[in-house]
Amino acid sequence: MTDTLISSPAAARRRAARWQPDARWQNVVVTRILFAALLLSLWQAYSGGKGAVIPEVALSKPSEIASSLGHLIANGGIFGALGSTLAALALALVISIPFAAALALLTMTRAGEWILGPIVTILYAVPKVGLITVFILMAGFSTKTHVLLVATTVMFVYYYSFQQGLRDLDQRVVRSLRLFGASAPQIGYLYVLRAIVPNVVVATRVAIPMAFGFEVFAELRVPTASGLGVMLNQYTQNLQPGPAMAVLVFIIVVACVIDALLGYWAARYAKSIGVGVTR
Amino acid sequence: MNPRSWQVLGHGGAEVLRWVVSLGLLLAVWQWLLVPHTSSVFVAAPSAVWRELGSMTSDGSLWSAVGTTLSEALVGFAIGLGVGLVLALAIGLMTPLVGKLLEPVVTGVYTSPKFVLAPILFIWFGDGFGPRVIVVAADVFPVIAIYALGGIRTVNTDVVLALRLYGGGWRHVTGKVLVPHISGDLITAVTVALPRAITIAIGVEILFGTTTGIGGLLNTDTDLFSAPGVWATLVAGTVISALCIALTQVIGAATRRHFFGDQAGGRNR
Repeated sequence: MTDTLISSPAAARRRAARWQPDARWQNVVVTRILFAALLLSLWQAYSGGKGAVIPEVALSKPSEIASSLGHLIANGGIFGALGSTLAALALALVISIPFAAALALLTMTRAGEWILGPIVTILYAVPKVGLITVFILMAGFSTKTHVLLVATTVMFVYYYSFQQGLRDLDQRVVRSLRLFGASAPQIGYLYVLRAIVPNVVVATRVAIPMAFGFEVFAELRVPTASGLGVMLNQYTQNLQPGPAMAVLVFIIVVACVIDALLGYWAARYAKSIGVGVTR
Repeated sequence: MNPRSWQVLGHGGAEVLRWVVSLGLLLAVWQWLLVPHTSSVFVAAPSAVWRELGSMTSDGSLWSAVGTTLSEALVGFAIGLGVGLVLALAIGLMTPLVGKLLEPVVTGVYTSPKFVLAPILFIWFGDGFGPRVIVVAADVFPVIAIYALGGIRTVNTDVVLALRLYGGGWRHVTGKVLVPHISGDLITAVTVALPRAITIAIGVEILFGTTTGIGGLLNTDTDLFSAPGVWATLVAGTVISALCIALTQVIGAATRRHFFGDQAGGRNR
């Protein structure tokens, strides 16, 4: 209270606005909830039974999906599958990032760019989903196939970002550091690594949702022991629409959460370096 | 080669030479370094891939597969384009409530991996043309909607107001302001979405386990452990994908020239 009295009226208004929820914002939330409820009610009403618009064998009723999801969450099975999917994704990132960095460094040299540039362009145009067949022949029906597919896909995202970052380096800074006697590793540590961080952030923002999508695709095509795609595949093959839809909903929620978290992280980073980009 | 020789070749000639040398190197590494040291189960020699491509071309299986995949991709793309534009116009031009309700749906669909729809659609509709097109359209429409909406939201309202004051109706506003303004965003959306449509079509064919389309050829060759077949189909897929990327860029440049009268495609806001 004292604080409000001694501060300027504008500051007090700002503080008050921060703590009082905006009525319009509340209206939007309520309307969205009502809209979702209406859609779910229609789905529930027109699903299953004789002459139903939505066949229950493909799309289960929302109530059954919710019940299956609750069951999967309660027994923890879905989190084990999520763990397997994320572990394969993380391994693919760990493999692809150093490879992309090395390739970007190679193509920074005049000869490297002259020779490797067209090869990388051709390889980039390969429809990546088709590569799964090559990886099946190479690694069989195993998690290695998933990792290879995801690593190959995200490698290009990081490669182009690293390349852009290296091209944008301020050569005057590099020359100055050399004049002060810095060695190549020192220049790399003191300047290059820090300068390309924004490119890495942007690449990660794009690469992780993409990697998640490709990992699920790989799990659907090459069902191994565990994973969200494997689980979805199993339930659809056993004609269990309730759990299948529950896994599908879970995958969509995970994708949205990953995207939202990365968006928040990228926006925070942009703000921290003074770009001030907000989502 | 001395600098004078480069000048004789010119920029275009030097670029062609670069691509020839680079491709030659790729093929040499593939033929003499990769093939002798890897299993023939998954790596085929370029000569075997070339022979397979010739055989697939002469018996018509390649053209049939390319036709199937392209038709799925293009029909799905056309539907996605239509749905995306309608959604963008509804969100951008109608009452804000419509935008607040529909925008999270578009963003949610954009964020989700579309391949998860494949198993459900397979049970619902089978593995025919329809479900493949649905997955492609589901991938395309959020991209179109998001880019078009970006364009709609940056229209200069002063220009719209001035046009309305001079007696212009919605037809004039749409034709004179809205369409030229969002065309740049739409071109970008098409450049992003069209190559994706081909990838999604191939992916769905693979997931459905079909025998038609490029994905179908890949499935069949994998089942037969035919490495030359797999690599030949991948080469064909890469050529189509590259042609598609080049085509979208040419169309983009032409459209930008038409609307903006320059090659850079600068927007006249």
